[in-house]
Amino acid sequence: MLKLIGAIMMIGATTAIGISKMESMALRVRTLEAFLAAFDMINAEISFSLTPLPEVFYRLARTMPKPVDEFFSRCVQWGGDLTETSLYQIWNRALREVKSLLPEDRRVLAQAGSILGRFDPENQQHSMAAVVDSVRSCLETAKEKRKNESRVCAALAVASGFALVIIFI
Amino acid sequence: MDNRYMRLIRYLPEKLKRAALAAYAPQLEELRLRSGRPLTAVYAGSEQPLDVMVAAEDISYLASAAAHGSVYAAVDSLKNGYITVDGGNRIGFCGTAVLKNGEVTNLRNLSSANMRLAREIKTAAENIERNYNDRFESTLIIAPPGMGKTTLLRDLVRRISDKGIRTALVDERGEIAAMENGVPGFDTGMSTDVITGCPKAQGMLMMLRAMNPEVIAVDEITAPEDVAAVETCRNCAVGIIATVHGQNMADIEARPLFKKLLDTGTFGLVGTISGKDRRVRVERRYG
Repeated sequence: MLKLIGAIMMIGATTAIGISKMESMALRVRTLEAFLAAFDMINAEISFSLTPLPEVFYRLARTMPKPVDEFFSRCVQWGGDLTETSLYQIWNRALREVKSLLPEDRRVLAQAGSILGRFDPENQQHSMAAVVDSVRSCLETAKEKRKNESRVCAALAVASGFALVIIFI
Repeated sequence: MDNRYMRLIRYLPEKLKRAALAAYAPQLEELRLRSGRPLTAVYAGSEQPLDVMVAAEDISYLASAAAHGSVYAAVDSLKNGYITVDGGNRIGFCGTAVLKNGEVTNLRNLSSANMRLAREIKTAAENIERNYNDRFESTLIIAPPGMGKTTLLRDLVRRISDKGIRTALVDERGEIAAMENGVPGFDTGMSTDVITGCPKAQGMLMMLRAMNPEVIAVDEITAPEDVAAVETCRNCAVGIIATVHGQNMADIEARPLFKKLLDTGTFGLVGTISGKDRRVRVERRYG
């Protein structure tokens, strides 16, 4: 009986690890999608209303899904009205707190922090378009990875559990 | 210390901010930054150097801070040489003009800045109001730059608005009412509607059509379209308060654009600000 319970716990634990890995891949995809949606909104605010960035970030902090809402909340909290701090520093600092992103995602998203607010409306849109393209590439890669590795993860997790059971029990 | 002054100097880099804080006095009107030269403060028209040098990057820093890190939001006013910041304070900039198809689209390599402290003086228009004899008359205010036209206009708008006269204020540069989130930072009166950031002529016509004003107030009419808009308002039996750059009445009458306005009886009263004491002299044109 004890062995049975042990076996179930082992399989359960490895399965949970597998599910967690699948969930982190899914979260990475959702995070990148949310950043793309945020960039769409930033572009619209800049094109149609010329809304200053502090105000745009405040709105994004209230409307974006997690964890992107927290990202913009940090930008608002640390950057204030961007009179005494550089957006680039705040942006990168806040990006480091988004744990669902990989280093390559952060490198691409960091580009936005270096160009936002620096140009007239027309050039701002052109510059942001290049960043959006790069983020879309990241997103496609992330989706592909999730699609390919999810099943492998799940299978490996369960198989690991059984293997451990066989070895130890 | 004047809260509006604190709101103005917060856009400065730290070393200049410290010097500006130490330089404060009630008569302080402007801070002037010139690349490679000392920061100066203007007190009642007299410019005094302070003990700190200004670098070119200090002026770039100021422009970026004044735009709240959002150059695209400020480029329309920056190409006209200024950014209006919160509190109704205005920062003027000089540099190299960026031209596109013969029009200035931006400024780069900023070399000078002029930080003007906005003030509210609730006695500025006393002399003019006294001359109304309980009945508003369209008023033209004449003065050279820096003599307090905007301050006087603000107070006059407040006075007539508080008497219940529906007043439409066309605040192109955002410095008369200093609107923040829809609320005026200066007291512009109980019956005043404000449009901000709109070219004067367009703003006057928009207010005329949309807000059913009894009086329209506008600062620094300069162009033929501004004068045409004033005439339209007059023809619609709407009163006008306007300011114009000039030394005195003779100076304005010598300009055909404005002479026509004066000769057609658009303005019942003309106020002129002059002298070191900025005294307001009022002349009745008609009636």
